[in-house]
Amino acid sequence: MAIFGSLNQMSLSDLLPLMSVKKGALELFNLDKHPNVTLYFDSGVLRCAFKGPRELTPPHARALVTWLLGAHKGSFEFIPEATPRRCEFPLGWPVTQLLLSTVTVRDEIEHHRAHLPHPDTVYRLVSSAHPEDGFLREAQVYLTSGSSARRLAAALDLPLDQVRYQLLKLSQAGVVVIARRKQTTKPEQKGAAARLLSALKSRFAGRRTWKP
Amino acid sequence: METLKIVVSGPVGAGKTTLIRTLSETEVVETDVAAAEAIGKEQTTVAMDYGSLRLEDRTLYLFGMPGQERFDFMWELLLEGSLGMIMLVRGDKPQDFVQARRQLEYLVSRRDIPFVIGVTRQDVQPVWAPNEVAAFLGLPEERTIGLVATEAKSALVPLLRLLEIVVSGEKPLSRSG
Repeated sequence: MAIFGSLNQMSLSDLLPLMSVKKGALELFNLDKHPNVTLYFDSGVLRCAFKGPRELTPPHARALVTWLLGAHKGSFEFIPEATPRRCEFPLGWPVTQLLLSTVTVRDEIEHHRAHLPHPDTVYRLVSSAHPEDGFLREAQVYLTSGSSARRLAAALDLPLDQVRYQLLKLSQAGVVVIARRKQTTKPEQKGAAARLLSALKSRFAGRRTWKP
Repeated sequence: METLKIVVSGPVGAGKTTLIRTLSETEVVETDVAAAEAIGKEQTTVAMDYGSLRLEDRTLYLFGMPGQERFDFMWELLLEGSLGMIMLVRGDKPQDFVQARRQLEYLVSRRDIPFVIGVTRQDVQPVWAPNEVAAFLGLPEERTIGLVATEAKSALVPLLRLLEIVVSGEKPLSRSG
């Protein structure tokens, strides 16, 4: 008896409840724009996650699972009793809670889609609170000097929409703000504006309508 | 001959084309086409509108920025070399404010550009007042001006305010960095 199939027919959200009562590795392959992924389960807990040969840190693992929940292209196979050769970033996430929280994040991203910042809007850090926030810990170095969601997504290897969502949340919490470019009007611009203002005022002063 | 440039931005249907048409002395070059989606109007700008105003020995060019986000690659290009930006939002269409804020945040985080916010359709009811829009956008009240884009005298007000800001070198942005 084997557990295998296609994400097109059985999504990760269908598989996760099953994984909560299994011990072994769930291998996902032929994914869209992603290398193979291996998730190790034991006693109802996700122990650790790998993308290709690379073990994922908790923020990356959470982002990956969130992305996988919406993936419809790819295949999976479960290897019973398989254990990782190493587990440097133990996750210890109960599968049922993981399913609930990642589905919530996906729903929130869709719900807030119109409010998500433009991918290239630049934010900067103004508060070092929330050290427990895994995303902020990794993004802090970039946000200190100012960074956009697109740059962060590339630097941290996270999905762009999830980074935009994180920036929206951090912005609402007052942890990051828009990094407004300093307005430094050049003297020649000031001069040009002054001449234009004067010309407009002298031409249209007192007129009710100003087109001849 | 001195040439100057001001950009008019804002969400789709904010009144950019109307404002340029009202202010321009020359024939406005329009790039409106029939809207492919339900955006609340039949025509929409797909590239940029362009009008001009001759004042003594100088010409002011007015460029309308397409509001659709898929044209965001043009936004920064259009701002290049401009004196400032008038961003329009429709006062009677609060559902567009989020998009306006998003566009404003994008632009001011990437370009050093003086700007004012013009709150259009002040002749209809109900309509958001300029100070209410300022509060929504997190800006000082003096950055927002109410107007009726079809009326010449009214359409001129945000332009004058923008030029005053450029001349005074005002730095009124308070809520964020």
